[in-house]
Amino acid sequence: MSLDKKILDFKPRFKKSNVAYSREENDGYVSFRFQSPGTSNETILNDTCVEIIKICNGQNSIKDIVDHIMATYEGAPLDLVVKDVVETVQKLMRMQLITWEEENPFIPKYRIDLGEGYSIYRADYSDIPKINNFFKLVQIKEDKPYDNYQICLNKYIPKWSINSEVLRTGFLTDMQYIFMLEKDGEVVGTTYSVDNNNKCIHTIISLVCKKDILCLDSFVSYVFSLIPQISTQNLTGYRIHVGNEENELMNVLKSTGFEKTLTLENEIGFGKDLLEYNYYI
Amino acid sequence: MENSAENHYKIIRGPYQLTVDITNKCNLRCLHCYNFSGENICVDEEMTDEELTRLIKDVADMNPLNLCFCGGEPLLRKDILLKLIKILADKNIQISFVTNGLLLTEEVAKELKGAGLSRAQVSVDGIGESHDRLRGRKGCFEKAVQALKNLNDVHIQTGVAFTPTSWNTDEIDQIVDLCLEFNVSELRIQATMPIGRGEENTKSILPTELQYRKMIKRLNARRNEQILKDGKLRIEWGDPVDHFIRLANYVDECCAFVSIKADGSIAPSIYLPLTLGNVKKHSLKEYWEHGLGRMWRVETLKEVSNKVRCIKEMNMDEIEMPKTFKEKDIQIDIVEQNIL
Repeated sequence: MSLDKKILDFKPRFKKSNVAYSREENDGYVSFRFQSPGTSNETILNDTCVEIIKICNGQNSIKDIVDHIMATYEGAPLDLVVKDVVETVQKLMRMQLITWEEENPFIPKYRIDLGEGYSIYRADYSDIPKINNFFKLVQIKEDKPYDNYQICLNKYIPKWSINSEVLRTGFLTDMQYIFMLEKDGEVVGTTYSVDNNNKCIHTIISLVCKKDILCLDSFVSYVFSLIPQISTQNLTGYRIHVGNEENELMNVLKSTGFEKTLTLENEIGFGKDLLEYNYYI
Repeated sequence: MENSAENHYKIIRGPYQLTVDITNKCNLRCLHCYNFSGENICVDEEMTDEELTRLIKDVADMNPLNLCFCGGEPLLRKDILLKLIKILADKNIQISFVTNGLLLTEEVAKELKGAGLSRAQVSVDGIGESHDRLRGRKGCFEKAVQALKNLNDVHIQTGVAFTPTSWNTDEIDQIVDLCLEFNVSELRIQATMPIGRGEENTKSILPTELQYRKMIKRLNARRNEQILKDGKLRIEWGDPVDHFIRLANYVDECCAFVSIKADGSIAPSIYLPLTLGNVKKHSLKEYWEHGLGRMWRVETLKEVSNKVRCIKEMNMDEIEMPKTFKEKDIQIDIVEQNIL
């Protein structure tokens, strides 16, 4: 198996309690309805997926699961089984149906220190309370001044979803990227962006930082240079739709390489335009 | 994982969700009622207790996710309703029903709980007088609220259905507050359908666009507030014509949602005057095995559904099709005609 050892040792746990409904179907398939914010309709899993779920109990590693599938389906090619197991676990993770105890190899932290007490890392679900507290401090309110913070919001994404989706569900998948900037252990900035399924443009949802941060340039450029390397998609660029506001964050984005490519006149009504900024990698 | 809808109908053994009109008889004559409850053409041909039992046993064998008993007022057939709920509950199928609440006393709530009802949706179309005005009878609002309380007391999950009218759209905040007070889990708002008595009373009940816009703005604000708070009250806006535009034109490969009218006919959409068979003639299983899951591939159904592109068009006289629930449906039988 040519997989990273961290992935092979990863012990996913399927959230059985989230199964609201299941029905055995024809040809070994099983329909499920999950009580999970990451899912809405019925999901039909084939017999291999069902077998994987059965032993995804937090005790078995990815390697154990692969061995089990190999034993169950005699003669199956190892490479295909590994691919199936990893992809299934990832998909279930995106549906918020997998939990884990130790660091998730699909969502590594990529921590670096910038000096002067500043550090950057990628958030996982264990950081949700910190993010939550940070957003509470910021109290995102559209069109209102933020005394101590500067904010860059994607106007196509409802402002609430920034707070709600991740914070309400308390979950981050490997396609959602929240990077945290800390100063002496206190959160002073975040970026939130997402991969889009089968799309090569990465969507920036929000950038929020305290004012007067010394290393804002480094934070933004680190994040946007790292994401293409770790993205689940073959990225060709970033996109954000913003209003007319000017602030230091927008200046930093521009200096990073973001260019205004489109003005959507009166896109959000009330005579307000949307500006599309793209950054092609 | 299997994602191709094209293959779903071959794989799944039956529908996931069903609605069954257990009766179209009703103890009210609401001005907006889309199916003329109490006086529509199904009323005299309703399924007997035996026919309903046979249908529900069939459904139970197919093990769907949930079934909703609709009407009319389902509690007018309380005895058979309780028996049917029990059949489904014994198979762990989620069961819900819709009611105007008039007959939902403490005792009835206990009976429903005992039978295994999971959820009840009570219609609340305004606060006090505005609710009663739509119902044509005083005191209905108090009874609907009492029904919510009675359901809450026996721990049956509740939902509230709210239909906007020209005189209740500015009460949406109070409706949300009412839902919060009675631990309602879902507030469902659906645009008023100008069919049935809703067509006859269009001029007096339909909200203006401005009223809709103002209401939606408040609704979004309250929904966002709820999401951030604890998400216990879901606020949903339902577009009643969306499903047949979507199903007929974009996802006709597999539909795992089935509606049965009170006379046993199988309706792809309760708002369209077309049926695909009748469970009095053949079992639901038989219809499923004959391709009911691909019902939206029936050309006549596509033609009928494509005549309507928005809610307003539902009652346009120039659109040639039978008046739903008033005139005889276009009747197709997918088993007898073997067309799928």
